[in-house]
Amino acid sequence: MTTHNVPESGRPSRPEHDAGAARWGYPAPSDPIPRQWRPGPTPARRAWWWLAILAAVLLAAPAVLAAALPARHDPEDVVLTADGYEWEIPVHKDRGGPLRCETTNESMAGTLYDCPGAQLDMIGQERYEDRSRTLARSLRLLAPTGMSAKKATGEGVRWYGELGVFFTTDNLGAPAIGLGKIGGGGEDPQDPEPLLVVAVVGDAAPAYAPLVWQALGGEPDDFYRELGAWSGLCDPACHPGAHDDPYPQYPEDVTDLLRQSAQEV
Amino acid sequence: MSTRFRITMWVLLLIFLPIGLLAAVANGLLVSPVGLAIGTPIGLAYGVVVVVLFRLLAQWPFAGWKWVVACLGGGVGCCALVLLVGHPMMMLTEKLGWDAAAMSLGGAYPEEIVKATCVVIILLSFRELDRPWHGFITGAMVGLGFEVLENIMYSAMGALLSPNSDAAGSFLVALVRIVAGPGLHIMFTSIAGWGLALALFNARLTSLQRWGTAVGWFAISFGLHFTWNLLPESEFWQYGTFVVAGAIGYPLWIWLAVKGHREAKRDIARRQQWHAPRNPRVARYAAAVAQ
Repeated sequence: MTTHNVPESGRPSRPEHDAGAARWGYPAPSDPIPRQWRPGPTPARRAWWWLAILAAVLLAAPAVLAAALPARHDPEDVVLTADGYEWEIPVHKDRGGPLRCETTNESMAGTLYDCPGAQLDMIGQERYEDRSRTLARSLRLLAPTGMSAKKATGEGVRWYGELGVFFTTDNLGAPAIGLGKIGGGGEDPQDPEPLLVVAVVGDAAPAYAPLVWQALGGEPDDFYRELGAWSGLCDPACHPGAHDDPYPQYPEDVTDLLRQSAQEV
Repeated sequence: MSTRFRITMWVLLLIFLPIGLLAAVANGLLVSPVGLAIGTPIGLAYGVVVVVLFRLLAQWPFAGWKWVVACLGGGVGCCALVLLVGHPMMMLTEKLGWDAAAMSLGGAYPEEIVKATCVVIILLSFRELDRPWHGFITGAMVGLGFEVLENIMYSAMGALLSPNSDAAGSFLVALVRIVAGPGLHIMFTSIAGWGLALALFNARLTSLQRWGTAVGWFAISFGLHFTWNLLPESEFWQYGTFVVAGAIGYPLWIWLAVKGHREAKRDIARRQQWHAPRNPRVARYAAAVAQ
């Protein structure tokens, strides 16, 4: 007695059925794995709505959560540094104490400090051919709102020993100040090559840049001389002895004059 | 295949493909025209080479040029959509103080969701797509479109990274994007595409298994992208994340590609009438399987 009969309890599995069909002389099924696949979900309308709602919820959720959460106020001491280099240069306020600003994760190569009225970002550079062009190009890289390539040729960069300074404006016309320091950033402190570039960009940049300049080891007189020469102003920006006074945190008067001057230039 | 999905696909493509192309050109002209001029031909050449290689795979469906346009254009459109919706996630990570995961969530989260959605829409727009390996190749092509546009934009921005010239910076970044971590978006999206197609087209799954399959494969894809983008404090782990993501992602991708290629050949040989019976590729696969 053959055992190929269909069991009385329940249907045979598909492979059993196919095997039986072949033995009974029926043509073998053209597709050995029938019904493993289907053309897609039916009705498609339901799948469409599932997909639309799911995608909308997942993409909108971060915006809703970000709007619901309070802004984070966690200022940190401003330290001039760059990924992959050894610089750790704290910046102090004129009257002492560390300069403290909010940090963001939008930096290209280190930490971006979001200070009231200006942003400070920095990068380390090596294998450069022309230090002035590199300083200007780095400022162009770090300026949050961009800067014309024509301004980043290296023309206008002034050097005081190993310290460089470059004044210009970004694409929105705000002051953009690049400050550079050569040396001290490599694993060997004597390595003369690495160039640290600090970009100070924003309406209040002239208030923060002297702090950075001094932190890098520069003389305040040199900075104010260059600032005055660039802006064409000597009062109050480069007023003799201005650096002896605690300059304001929000120097709107200076900034307005600088902006007008830059536009005229 | 569904007319509703097909109409949706072409409407979204008409909206977001031009936005993506315009964004790349405007970004390039604003940041560095030299970078744009160098990055564009390199990016396009990379795209052409990869398409030719994909064309050799049996997974390549008999869906015609419209499928190619939908996939590559969809990838470009996904990039545009991410530019529009990606910023809130960056804000969220910043508010939460999750600095190490900022690029992981800010990049991987919107990008993988948008690309996976694009893959599902394309899979349900063409009747010729009904197997997991079709999801794999569709994901790969969508990822390629995304990657080419992203590489062009990165090349323009990378122009500024060189201390000496825009041309040097752009050329270096374009090469690094191709050589260091090649085909990352292709890998992420094709892995997700395989799982999504498996969930959509397998007739033997319950609803729960279907959702589990889709979510599980998408989670692998997202997890790989998340890991690759992590920015841990430790310099060792900054490279370690690349190694971990690469060591899992690339072998998995190759395994799926080989498995899909073999199964696709057998499937085409079995369903010659369903595919294009006069296509020489069908006859070739049929002969190979018969042997």
